[in-house]
Amino acid sequence: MLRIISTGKGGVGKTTTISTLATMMAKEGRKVLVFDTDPSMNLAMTLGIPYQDVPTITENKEEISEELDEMEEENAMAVGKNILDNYSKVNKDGIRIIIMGAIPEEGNGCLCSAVAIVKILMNYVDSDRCPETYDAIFVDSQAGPEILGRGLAKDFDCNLIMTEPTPKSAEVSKQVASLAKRLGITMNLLVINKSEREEDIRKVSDLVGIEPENAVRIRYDHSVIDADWNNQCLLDTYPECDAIKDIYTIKNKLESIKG
Amino acid sequence: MCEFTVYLNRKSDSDIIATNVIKSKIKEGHISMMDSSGKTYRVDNAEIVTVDSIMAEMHLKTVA
Repeated sequence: MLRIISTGKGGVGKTTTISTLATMMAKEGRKVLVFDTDPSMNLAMTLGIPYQDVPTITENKEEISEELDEMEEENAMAVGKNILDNYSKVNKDGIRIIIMGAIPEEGNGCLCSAVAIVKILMNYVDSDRCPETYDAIFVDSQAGPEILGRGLAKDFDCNLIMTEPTPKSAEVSKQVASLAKRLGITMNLLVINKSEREEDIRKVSDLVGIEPENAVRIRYDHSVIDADWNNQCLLDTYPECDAIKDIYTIKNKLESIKG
Repeated sequence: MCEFTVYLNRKSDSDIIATNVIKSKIKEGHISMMDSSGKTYRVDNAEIVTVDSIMAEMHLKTVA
């Protein structure tokens, strides 16, 4: 099972890249699970499901917490099963989607508890108790490095460190790269999105502190914007566009991790 | 991160008995805890001294 997270500054293309990679794999017949841990919750919509149709973890956390009250490991497994069975949706390509959700009302705390529940769910999915065996799990994270501080990506196979070819965006990626080093992630792949120059690889990887051979570009491509405006799946609508070709390069790198 | 590191009779980091704890309660006379992987811990003959969400730490002490 491949476990992949996307991290980086807001607006750099985490959701588009994750949803496209997940769709590519699902269309090849792989079993794919995606988690939207970004409070902005765009992933489900990008995958063709209105997010209002997916019950989120945060809006149900009281019920989930009560399920854990007996303090038995069995309860944690039951919570994992419950979320997978009842708080997820499957899109037309067979991708199962789980949304962490946002803070439901003002003054209602942080998202740590929801991330903790996502960890319990991941543990269930990894266990023999889960009837489904997933080929790939993708986590679309919120903007900034905070998700790594919460330890969600510990021992993941790949962290896609998404950035634009700008110093401010690269600075966030530098923080992300620094935190990721301590989490035992197999591959930290720097993805320079909306890139118009080949030299972006060298310039940005220098700034972020990642070797250029662990950096890839996604070329600037109007097709991405057009697909978004028309609420279309990029892969379905523009399968030959430059951005899709570059995302295939990322997919090949991901698949090389486990041979 | 709001997951707690739990110390028993803290003198040093070697007194850590659990990490990433998300839930704790008194159950049948002992302290029961669960971490974010769903693993559970039981501590007998102890009581809770401090719960500190700023440091994400919980301190226990042994009682006779």
